[in-house]
Amino acid sequence: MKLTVTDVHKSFGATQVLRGASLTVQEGDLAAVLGPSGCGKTTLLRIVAGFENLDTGSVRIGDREVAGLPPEKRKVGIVPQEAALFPHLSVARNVGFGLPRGSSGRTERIEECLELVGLAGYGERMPHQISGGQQQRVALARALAPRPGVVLLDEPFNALDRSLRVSVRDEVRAALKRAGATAVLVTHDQEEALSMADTVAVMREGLIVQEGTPAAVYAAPRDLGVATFVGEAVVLAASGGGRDTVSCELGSLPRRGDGPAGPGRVALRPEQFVLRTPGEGSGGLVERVEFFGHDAAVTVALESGTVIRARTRGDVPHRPGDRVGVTVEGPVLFFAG
Amino acid sequence: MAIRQISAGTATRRTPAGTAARRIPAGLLAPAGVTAALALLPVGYLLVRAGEGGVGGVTGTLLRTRTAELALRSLGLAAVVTALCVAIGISLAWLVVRSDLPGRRVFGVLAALPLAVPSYVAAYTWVAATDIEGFAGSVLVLTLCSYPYVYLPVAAALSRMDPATEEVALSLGRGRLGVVLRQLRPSAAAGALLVAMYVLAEFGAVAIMRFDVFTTQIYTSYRAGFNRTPAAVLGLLLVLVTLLIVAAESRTRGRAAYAMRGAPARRPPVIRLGGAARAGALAWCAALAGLAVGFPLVSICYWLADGSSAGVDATVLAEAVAATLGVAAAGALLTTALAVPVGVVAARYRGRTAAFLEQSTYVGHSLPGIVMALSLVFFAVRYVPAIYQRWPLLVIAYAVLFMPAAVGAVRASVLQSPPVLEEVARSLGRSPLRALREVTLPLALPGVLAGAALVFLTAMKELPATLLLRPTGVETLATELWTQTGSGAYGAAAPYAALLMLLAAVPGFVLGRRSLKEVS
Repeated sequence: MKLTVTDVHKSFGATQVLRGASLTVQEGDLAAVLGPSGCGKTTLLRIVAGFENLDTGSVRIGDREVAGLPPEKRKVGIVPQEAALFPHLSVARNVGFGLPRGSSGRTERIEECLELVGLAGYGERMPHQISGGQQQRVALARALAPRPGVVLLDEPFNALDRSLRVSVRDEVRAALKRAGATAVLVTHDQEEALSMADTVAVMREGLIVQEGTPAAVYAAPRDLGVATFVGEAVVLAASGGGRDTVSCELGSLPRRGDGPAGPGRVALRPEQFVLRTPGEGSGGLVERVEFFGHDAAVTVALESGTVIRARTRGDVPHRPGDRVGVTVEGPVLFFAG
Repeated sequence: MAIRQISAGTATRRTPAGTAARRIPAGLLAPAGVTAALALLPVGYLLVRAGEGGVGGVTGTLLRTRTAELALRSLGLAAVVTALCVAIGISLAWLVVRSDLPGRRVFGVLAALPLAVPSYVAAYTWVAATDIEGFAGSVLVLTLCSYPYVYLPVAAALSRMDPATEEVALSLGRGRLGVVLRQLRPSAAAGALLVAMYVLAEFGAVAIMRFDVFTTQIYTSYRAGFNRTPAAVLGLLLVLVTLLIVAAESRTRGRAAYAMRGAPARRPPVIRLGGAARAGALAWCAALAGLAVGFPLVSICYWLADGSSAGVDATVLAEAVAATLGVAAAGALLTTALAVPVGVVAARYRGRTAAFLEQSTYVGHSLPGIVMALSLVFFAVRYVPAIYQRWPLLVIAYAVLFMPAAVGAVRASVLQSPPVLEEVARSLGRSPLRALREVTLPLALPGVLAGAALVFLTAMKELPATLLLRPTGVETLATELWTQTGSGAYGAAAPYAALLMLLAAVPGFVLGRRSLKEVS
């Protein structure tokens, strides 16, 4: 079901944690709430789940206002950080915990949900007998079993090994999609948010500052803070010249979107830098090359003293100490002020 | 009484995240309130009763020279015993944990074993076999029974101490002793305060040793009395002194917990003893074990073999065993049932109400058994004569006395179960109480049962409250031992003493094994 959070305020004592946060998730979408730790994203999640009461504002699931209802009346599924399976219950009884006892089709629903997360046949195991990734998927099956209006995932991949994280992520997304669930994922990992979610909501200091598809938020961040938090960026002083150009130490560059002229700053993405032979563009010295296989990150100190980090193809033969020229490709982000 | 204080004292204080001021559900608040009311009843009623004596009655009792003398005797005994326990406890802990003393693991277990000897049983074994009595006898018996209160926390602190701090001190040209002692101060102080409280509340051993202190005087004036104001006033005075000590203890406890947080990465190095030091240390450890554990055992065995026990009626003995098991089991059941709601509140909720509910149950911690029993007698005689000198009153007394241990056990085991599990259960449609029942309590059950077992074992050897409140015509092991010792029938008392030692050995053994784990 559609989730609508409107203008939620929440303080703990004198500390204002949420200052009018609003969020909309369309039915069947997976939304990521992305923000640094302490931005209030976990509080927002706990308010939607009903573990905290909001001070003012509204939380609607479908057409139903749920603010003020206790958690057990909300039909919100949760997948906590460390799976939190009930250790005294088997996998099947964990999954069946939210299904009324003795209801018809209970066993079938448990089987169906285990299948949904790719763990058919694991029902009789105890939680300590399965791996961390499997536990996380059982937690998802448990949350999905009673067909909740919304599923909330609180940094569910944090406790997993890096190598495991990507595959569990894919499985979780696939299971959510198969179940047709509306889901909110809270994370501070921008790669996770951008790669998994249908929409991303960037949160900062108790407010959702921007919502949109991952591509839209990455391409058109609404301010410099969002630009540097969602993806990497080199920030340079610049001035908006005409309607569609800005000038900075790297020359006059085409500008994304339009806006007022005057002083401000540009944000350049690492993949926008192109390394060329010396003499072309701005000159610089290669300081460091980080090789990742599929690509590489090259750190270049420009003659002006500015240091940039460029993404290049993995097979480019730069070495620390090489002289290079740097040019910029594509329109750049400009923020006045 | 011995064990409850240790377990309440070492429980860690920790509040989980995400338990911000939530309202306590009525289904939990109501039973917890009942528990708190029951726990506060004895002290409350004692205040009422003392107040009835009027200002004249109260000041009259307080100003008697006898009162001042009793205060001096009680405090003097507590001071001497505490000082001796600190010296013995630290020296033993250091030898067992840090030196290469031969047989140190055995001595480690032996050092905890005196907890398994009820002090009045130990007193009986000494008066039965020697002429010692009075102040010297009380000091001897109480020191030998209570030094584990210092030994156990100090040994734990020593084995958790980070060796790096000593190495730093050595590298700076300072000796290691100063650093070590400074770090031991919180745990030694906490243990010392427990000893002081324990000595002030002691009744059986000092009575057997015929050394008159507050508790024995309260008993005498209760037995003598139509006017019960003096007993009530003396009782309150003793509570007041004990409360001061509890306040001091809880201050050190906070710091002690901080000092012992976390386990060090390495074990501290073992210090080699030279030949003479080794012989001296061996003699010291062996002498203590011999006096504290060996002597009572030998003395009981002597009386058992002497033949004067032969006259003991097996039926009477069996009845005493049955009565002891019965009241102790009922006490453990009631105590645990009352402790569960408060323990859950203490583990899961914050705020003034939660703090009040938890702290009210710790009154038993600072209330000498004799004083509490006295107050319940007053209360029952006036308001519920139907239960006076019947078993419900005794069971209630056990519940108030041993509540701290039970609440501590419930709280600690509920804390073991992460609150997020309850939240998941809530999100899956469970009310707060059902989430507790279906998730938290099953997970906490082993710890809660262990607490109940501890209460059961502790109640079986309780003396003063049992003495005052036991149903008419019923004798437990403890009261039989008391009666026989009182009339000088040492042989007849021996079987009861032997059984009590056996019963009491169980928690002592468990604690000893725990301290052994810390040593090895």
